[in-house]
Amino acid sequence: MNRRRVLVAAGFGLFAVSLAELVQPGVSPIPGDELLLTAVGAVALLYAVAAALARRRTGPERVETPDVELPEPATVPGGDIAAVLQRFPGAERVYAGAGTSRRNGLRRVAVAVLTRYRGLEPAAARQRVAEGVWTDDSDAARFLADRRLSSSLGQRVRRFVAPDSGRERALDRTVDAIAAVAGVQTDEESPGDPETTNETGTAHLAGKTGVRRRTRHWAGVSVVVLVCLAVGLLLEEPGVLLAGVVAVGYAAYARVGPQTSVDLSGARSLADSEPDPGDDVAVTVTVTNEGGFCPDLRIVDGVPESLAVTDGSPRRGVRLREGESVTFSYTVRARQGTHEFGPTQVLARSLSNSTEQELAVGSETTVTAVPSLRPVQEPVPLRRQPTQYAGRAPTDSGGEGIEFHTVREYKPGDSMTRIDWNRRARTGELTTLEFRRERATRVVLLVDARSTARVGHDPGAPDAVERSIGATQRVFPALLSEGHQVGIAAFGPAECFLAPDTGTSHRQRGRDLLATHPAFNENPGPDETRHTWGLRFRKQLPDNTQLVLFSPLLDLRVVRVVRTLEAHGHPVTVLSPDPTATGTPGQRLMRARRRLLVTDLRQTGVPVLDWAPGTPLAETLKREVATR
Amino acid sequence: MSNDTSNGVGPIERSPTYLSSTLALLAGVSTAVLSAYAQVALGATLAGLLVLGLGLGVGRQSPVTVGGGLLVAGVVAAGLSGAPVLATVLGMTTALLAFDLGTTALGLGEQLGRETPTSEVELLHAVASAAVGLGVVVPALAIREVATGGQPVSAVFGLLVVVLLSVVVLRRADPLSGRRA
Repeated sequence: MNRRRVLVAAGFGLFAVSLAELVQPGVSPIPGDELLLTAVGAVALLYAVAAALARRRTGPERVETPDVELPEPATVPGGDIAAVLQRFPGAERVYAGAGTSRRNGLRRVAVAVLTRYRGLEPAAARQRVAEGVWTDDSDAARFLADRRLSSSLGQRVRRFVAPDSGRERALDRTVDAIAAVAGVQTDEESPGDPETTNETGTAHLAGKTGVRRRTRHWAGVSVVVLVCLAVGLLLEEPGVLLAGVVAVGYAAYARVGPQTSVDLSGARSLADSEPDPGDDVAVTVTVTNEGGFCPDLRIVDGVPESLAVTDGSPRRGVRLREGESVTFSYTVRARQGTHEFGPTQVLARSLSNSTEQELAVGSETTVTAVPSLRPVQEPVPLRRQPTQYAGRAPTDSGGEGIEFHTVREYKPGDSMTRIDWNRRARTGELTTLEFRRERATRVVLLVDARSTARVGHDPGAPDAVERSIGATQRVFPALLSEGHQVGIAAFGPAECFLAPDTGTSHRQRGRDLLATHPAFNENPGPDETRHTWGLRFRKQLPDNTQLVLFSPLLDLRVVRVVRTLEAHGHPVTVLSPDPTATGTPGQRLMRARRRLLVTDLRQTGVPVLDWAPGTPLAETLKREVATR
Repeated sequence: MSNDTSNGVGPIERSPTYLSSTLALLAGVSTAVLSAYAQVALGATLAGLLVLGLGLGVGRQSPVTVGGGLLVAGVVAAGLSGAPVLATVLGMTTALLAFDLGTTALGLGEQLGRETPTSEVELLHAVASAAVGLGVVVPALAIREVATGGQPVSAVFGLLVVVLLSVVVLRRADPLSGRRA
């Protein structure tokens, strides 16, 4: 700093002397020599070259602002083939690594799929894969075959020109061939755009708050100065020299221009903090300048990741004088659940654009949208498991009811209305009609809310957890109104259990729980559900309780949970929103894997309702009831 | 299904803002006009204008920087080909303004989007930058006029060393430690 001051002082002194010399020639002690001027020009040129070479980065650097207008897109499962190969049902010991190990993994998966879908013995399936006769696709067959199969000229040329791309291509084709064996076709509807499948929204504030950093907006101006000086001096052109002086002005503006000390406060208000889902909510943001003049404030409001902006813009570029404030508003569409607005992100730039300070102002605001329960019209196909309470679920035992069950010998005390009078008239025998006894059951609706379930078939569509919760909201009141005792629980790291009960207040409790409980509304992140979850859940579960599980059925863990519950006498019905897509080979393999899991579950007697995206829930339920 | 995600506004258009882009192109056109004293100079500024326009069209920084550089080169070429001092000095101002405003348009577009109302900020930046240019041009030309006995070499030398010193100092100056208003 001291050296800089000396330089500045020397500069000013020299400037004064030179000015005096201009007005009154002969005052200055400085020697005037053309050669000296040329020397200064040469020095400037060298400095210019050095400065130009020293510039490591060329362009300006800016803080990036998130796309707050868009809700966080759902991840389409199957982005990583290695991850899909891992824990493939029936090929558990698959090592998913690179190169040959990946090939080994695919071999095991191919064997597993052939065993299930072609009815082959594992040994026979293995042999087919080794011989390369399991598929019509020659690339795929060769990729998994033990020995080298003869390849066509085109394939050889391709391998020679681009060995890596050939391997990737063969891998993709093999994955597709395996998926095809499992019945997943490439040309099925493929909404999953490979470009956007793996992206997740980053709506967090970028960078550190409050740090002022340079933007390098004027990068290159000093080089212009030096070039002008050098050229002007060496070629003796006063115009160019003066042009260099202009550039000096800009360099000074950029480097030592006025800096603002930024002190802002913010406020946000919602037209309705408890709207119905689907309502448009007006959000009004006010940012007030508590400090000095701010020439350039770039404001981006912290719209929750889960909400979409439907009208207006949550952004504004303003200048604020001392004490002035700006107010703007926009509209978001409410979705069910609790959504938190983050602080408002403000980028404060200096007048010269050369520095930028990032601030977070305002407080967090919450909007809660609780949907009114709309019971699904179709009956929910429950498993048979009676309680002692009268209800509508048909049982296997005879008694009073509507549907015919059996005929038995008359016992004294049987109601006269249940005597089969036709038979009595025909044969003289006295028999009693038995009807299917209808009883209430106890049901717990279990929602798979783990982070692995937060995937969807399309980045713009609701993910499997949202669909599951949506379905739960419709099944819950429907079962209640049929007289069942219904409870709600979440399968995930966050504890959530509502014991089965009936009644209006219970209905209200369930409605609020589904809409606002963090287990359903917050992505728990990659940390997994504890291994003791099943044990603790079973302890909470009353006896004679059956379960309706809402899960995308993407991993073996949830299948194991179902089996354990079944083994402990809790019948399970699975309603599975299908989150798989067919856009890429990995996604198709994921669909094949899910199909295997569904088939496995069905084979053990667990009804699985496969709920395709775009199909109404009622239709899925109706189809299941019809096939029973 | 109650989870309707459609009907959103969609991703914002992160292209350069219109106002600053227009002003940058206007500055570029002025540079071209001011440099029209030699074919080489005019060619360079027109090429610079084209590249600048292209950069603003596609929303990329590097063409804007290159375009600004070409505009500067054209002005220097015009100065060397005998353009009046006033034209050269003003040309340099407009060339640097074109680069500055183009970069501002890109930055605002990238951070806030094209559709966001930002005109007051853009106008302020443009006026401030133009004022800086004029604030240097006018005194510099005034000094040149005041100089009575032609320009003694010793004085010119002294002033040049001053300019060089200021560049050295400015390159070391950190904009972050600048004085606070």
